[in-house]
Amino acid sequence: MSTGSNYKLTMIMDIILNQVAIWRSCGTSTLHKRIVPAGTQYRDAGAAVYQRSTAPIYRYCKDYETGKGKNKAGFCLFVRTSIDNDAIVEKQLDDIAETISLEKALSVTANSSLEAFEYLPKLIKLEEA
Amino acid sequence: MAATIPYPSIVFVPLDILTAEELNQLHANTTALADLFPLAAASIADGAITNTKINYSSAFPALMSSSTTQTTISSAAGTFSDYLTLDVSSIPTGAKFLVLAQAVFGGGDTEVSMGLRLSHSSSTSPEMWQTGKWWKTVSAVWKFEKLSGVSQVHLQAGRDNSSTCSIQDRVLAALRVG
Repeated sequence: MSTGSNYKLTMIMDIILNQVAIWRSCGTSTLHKRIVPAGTQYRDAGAAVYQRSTAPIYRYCKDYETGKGKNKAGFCLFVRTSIDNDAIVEKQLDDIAETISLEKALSVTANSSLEAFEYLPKLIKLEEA
Repeated sequence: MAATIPYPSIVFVPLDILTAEELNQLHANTTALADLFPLAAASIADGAITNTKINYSSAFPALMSSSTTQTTISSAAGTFSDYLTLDVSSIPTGAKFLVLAQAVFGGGDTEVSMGLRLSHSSSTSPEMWQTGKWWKTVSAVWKFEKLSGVSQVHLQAGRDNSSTCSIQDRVLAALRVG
């Protein structure tokens, strides 16, 4: 199997729609939004699908801090979702960030790399604003 | 003068697909940092960066503090003084850390004791013990959760009876593990 095929397989396995992930700080304390290019493969409820240009997917991310004084740690929450509403997504990310402990944030900081991140058992939902 | 990189605000997370323009910007940042590094390296003398100048608060496991000496001393008969002290004040309250202790004892072949005393304790005797024979290296590892009142860990050694005890090489280190 070529390197390119391996990479494609990894992408299918790793992108899970609506599931929030935690990573080291990405460099923005305000909500950052990026449209995911059409043709990207991801998992939606366990099924591998291709993203169509008629149904765009967005990637949201934002940095947070936990702890006080010298015992602080920064981390980033990010999610890919079809929800095109900054306020709804940001509110839910903010709520999830409140549940992240200092130990969890330190662990993420120590273990994150360009390939290593961690999904949380949290889903973004399209709620009424 | 503070160094700057040409594109300081590129935001991306794992599995993002960057555009060719963004990849070019990342490359420009990397190049700028590589160009900066020889200047920084030339201005830092050998040995100028010590472990006390490294901020360990955002990463673990990390060596928080260590202390070592090769001076031979003798403990007074039946007493336990602080023979080596370690500053653990930089470990956040609630964090877990290991204290590693090792000492070489000289003398006869009766039993000696080595232990730790935490700075918040009112006791003058060690709270945790590891025993061994004279002329032997005695090693021990203790695991703690950092309490708010603990700022130092003291290595103590000696004998409970009336004999003195010679203590040679000693090492004390703290390693944050959680």
